[in-house]
This record gives sequence, C-alpha cells and structure tokens, in this order.
Amino acid sequence: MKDRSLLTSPIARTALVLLLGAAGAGAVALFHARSTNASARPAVVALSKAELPPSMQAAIRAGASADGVDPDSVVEVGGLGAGDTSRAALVGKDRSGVVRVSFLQGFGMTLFQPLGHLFQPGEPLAFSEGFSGPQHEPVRIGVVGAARASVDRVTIELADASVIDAPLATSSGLSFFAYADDSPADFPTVVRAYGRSGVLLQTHEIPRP
Amino acid sequence: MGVVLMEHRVRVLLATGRPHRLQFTKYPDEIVYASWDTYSSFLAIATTAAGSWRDQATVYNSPNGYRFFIFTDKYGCYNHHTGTMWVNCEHFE
Repeated sequence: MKDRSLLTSPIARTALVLLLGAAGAGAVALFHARSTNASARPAVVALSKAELPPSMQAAIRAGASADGVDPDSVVEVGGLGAGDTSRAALVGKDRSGVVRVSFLQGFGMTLFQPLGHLFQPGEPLAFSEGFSGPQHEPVRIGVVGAARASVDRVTIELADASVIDAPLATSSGLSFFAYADDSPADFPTVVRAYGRSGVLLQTHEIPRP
Repeated sequence: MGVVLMEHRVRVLLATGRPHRLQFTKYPDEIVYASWDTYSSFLAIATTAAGSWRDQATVYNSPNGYRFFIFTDKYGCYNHHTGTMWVNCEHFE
C-alpha cells in the first residue's frame, strides 16, 4: 500500500516523470556524443553551406583551384566535427567533369585526386588518417575514407577492441565515412570493408606514428 | 618575389635510388608533396619551432601531397615505416 500510495501521489508521479526524462536525456546525450565522435553525418552539402569556418572554406576553394577542380563543384560529404577538428571527404569535379576527392582534417587536406589515383590498385578503400598532438602521444586520431561501390559495410575497430559500423554517405557513386575521437580508448585502430555478401574485402590497420 | 622567398624545396629519396621530392609553399597553401615507391604512404607533419609535433596526416598513393591550413614554423614529412623525419630540410637517402 505504501508503494501504491507513493506512485499515485502527484509528487511521486512528478518525480518519476522527471527521473525518466533525465534518464532519457542522458541516453540521448550519450548517443549523440557517440555518434558525433564515432561517425560522420550521412550528408552531402555544398561547400558554401558546410559547417566550416570561412577561412577554411577559402583555403579549400583555393586548394581545389590549384588542383584543377572547380571550387563551385565541391561538396562536403559526411562532415564531422567543427573547425580544426573537422573531418570530411571533399568531392569535386575538374574541367573535364572527372570526379576528384580530397580528405579533409581540420588542419589540412589531401590533394584532390582522381579515383584512379585515390584508390590503390585492387583495393576498395582509400584513406587519410589525421593525428593531433605530440609524436607517440596523440590527443586526437581520426580517419576519413572512401569506399568503392563494391563495399556494403565499413567497420572501425577501436582501441578498446569494440567495433562500430561507420555510417556511409554516398556521392558520385562512392561511399564516404569519417571518424575521430580524443579518448585513447576510442582511437580507431582497424578499418574493415565488407561486400554485400558479407565477405571481408579489405583490412586496414591505422598506423600509430 | 615574396612567393619565391617563402618557398622551400626539399628533395627526398626513400630508399630506392631515385630522387623523391617534397615541396613546401607559403601559407595558406603549405603543401607537403612527395613521390615514393618503396612504401605505401608517408606522414605529412606540422611542428612547432622547437620541433614538437602538432598535426599529422597520412598520405597514400605516390605521388601525392598534403595541404596544411594551419600556420606553424615547420612542415615536413615522416617516413613512419622507418622512423625517418625531414623538416624544412633538403635530404637525400
């Protein structure tokens, strides 16, 4: 009876609602933090609308021009983070309409490469890893990658041995993914690509310089 | 003239007998560029004046390069397969 009276009292119900609400908010916050760090937003946005500082957008446009890519054609794919912690793929086209891809870390970017040069022969994944902090003691590790159409699923193994699925964002017939974290237990260690039948297509160990 | 004065050119040979090139250009296009054929990748690095590493990125598929956005004192490359580093220097191996 005591329990029943507690549950039926307005104060108890209010407390219960608040507790459940707090628990729910906590779960959402955890999921958001995990998804923010663990994977890219599966989105394709024009460079001008990307959540990047104007100075970084200007540097990307200048880099695109220098690499023969029309800056107005550049889209950010699977953007993650902000400012100097940003990770994303940049996809643009040159004057001949050929797709070129660059991998963006907040502190820099790879040169725009045509697909024939982006992927190593016979491999379905292409990458660039970014490390921030002193040598041997990185404070943040991220990876940005592209996957050919033969790849159905990409997983990222973390330092704590857990494995996450990397959400894939598609553009120009490719899939793209990004991941970064500043917790050593969640540093990425291995990226694996699987085909539609579930067969393992490629295993890539992330170097630790 | 300013561009020429701020441009650093580095030539690197990664254990193959043929010259490999790294080229540095001025901010905001600080590019570390290399060609190589013995290893699968190299690491583009940005360091402080004292040599502490700030940011690094792997670069795959020779020839290829990396364009740093940040302004720092030194840029260079690190062969993470052998542990050899070159920063603002000219090097032949």
